[in-house]
Amino acid sequence: MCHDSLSWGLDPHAVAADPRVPLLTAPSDELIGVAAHEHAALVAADGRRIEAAKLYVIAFSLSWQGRRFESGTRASDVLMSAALTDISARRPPRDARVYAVVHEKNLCSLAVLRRFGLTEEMSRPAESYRRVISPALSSVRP
Amino acid sequence: MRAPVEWPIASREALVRAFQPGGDETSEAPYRTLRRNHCATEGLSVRLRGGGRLQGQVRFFSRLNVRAAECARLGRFEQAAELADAARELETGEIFQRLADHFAELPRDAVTATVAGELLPELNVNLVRAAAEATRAAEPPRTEAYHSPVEQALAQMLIHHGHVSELHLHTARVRLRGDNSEILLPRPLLHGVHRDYLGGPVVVRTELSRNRAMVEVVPGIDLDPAPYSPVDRTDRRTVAITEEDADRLSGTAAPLFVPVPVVIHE
Repeated sequence: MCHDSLSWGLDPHAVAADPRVPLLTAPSDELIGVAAHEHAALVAADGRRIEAAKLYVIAFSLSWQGRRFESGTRASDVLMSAALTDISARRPPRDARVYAVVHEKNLCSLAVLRRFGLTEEMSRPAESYRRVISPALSSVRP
Repeated sequence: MRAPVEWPIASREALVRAFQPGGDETSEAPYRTLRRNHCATEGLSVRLRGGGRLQGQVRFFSRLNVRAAECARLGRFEQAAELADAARELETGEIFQRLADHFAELPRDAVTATVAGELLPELNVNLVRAAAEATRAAEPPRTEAYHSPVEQALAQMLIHHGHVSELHLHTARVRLRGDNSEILLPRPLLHGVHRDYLGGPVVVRTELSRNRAMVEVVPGIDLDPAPYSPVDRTDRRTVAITEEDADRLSGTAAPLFVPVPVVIHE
């Protein structure tokens, strides 16, 4: 997954989308996980455009799946926080919306995304795939 | 998965180019000549209503008109007329009318790009597929007389259907359906028909004349949708949303939830 993500991120034909591949490593340089995101605006049938960042990958090495750090913090929380922090830091800003496309049976990923605020569900891009996005402020319950 | 077929619609400029390659494609005269000789239809005129206000008109044609113009150039007027008749039937049929209605709701730039073969996220690609299927069914078989079986075989071999398999700075390879062989093309030819990406469906037509070959790259469309992949950047389904989606997402975005402070080291 890391190799594929790096190939994806280094594709010279995708430079305009500003692909990023944050890696989470331990002090020993052991790879814990990899994320991947890029700018990918959503376009409606009537031409309206929603600037957004697409989360392509949040993945962990086998030995780190489901694990926590000594502090008790979930590794998944750290990697997701890193991905969202990186998205927020891009210029021009693209953290207005963050979305991901996940297979409908991947309940684990859907739960992580929901925990991080990707709670709005859009129309499906294809059968068997769900598309979730961070919501509009008006949709957020206090 | 079936081989891609030609994009079913074309602009008036495409007709003129097929009739007079290298000439002024914006000139009215060649098109009038084709019309006068029953080798072209009047096309479909669309009044654009995108954005809730009138935005003028755009005209588009069945691609069979381009084939008709080609035949007219080669002096095959009977076949040209037959193709134009088939084009007219398509253009007055339900599928092309539905396509015109769909175009009426799009911005002008989007319609122009779509007529030229661009696969935009806001395009109802299933309608274009339906038009491509109908075109394939309606196209009359080639009936020109060949002087020998070799000539006939050669003519039939020179329409290639495939997908872009490699891209380099100045060249591109297209993997052909059938025997999986590849042909090498100048990359600008793909760029000119909006197929300058891996997996782009194309039809490559080569016209031989004594010691010359004229190569035309036509934007293709896959009749069978490719399997979906959320990590495929070229799959426009990932970014195409409905108007209801856009309505729900309107307004200020909620702040992102970042529970763990993180420092990113570049």
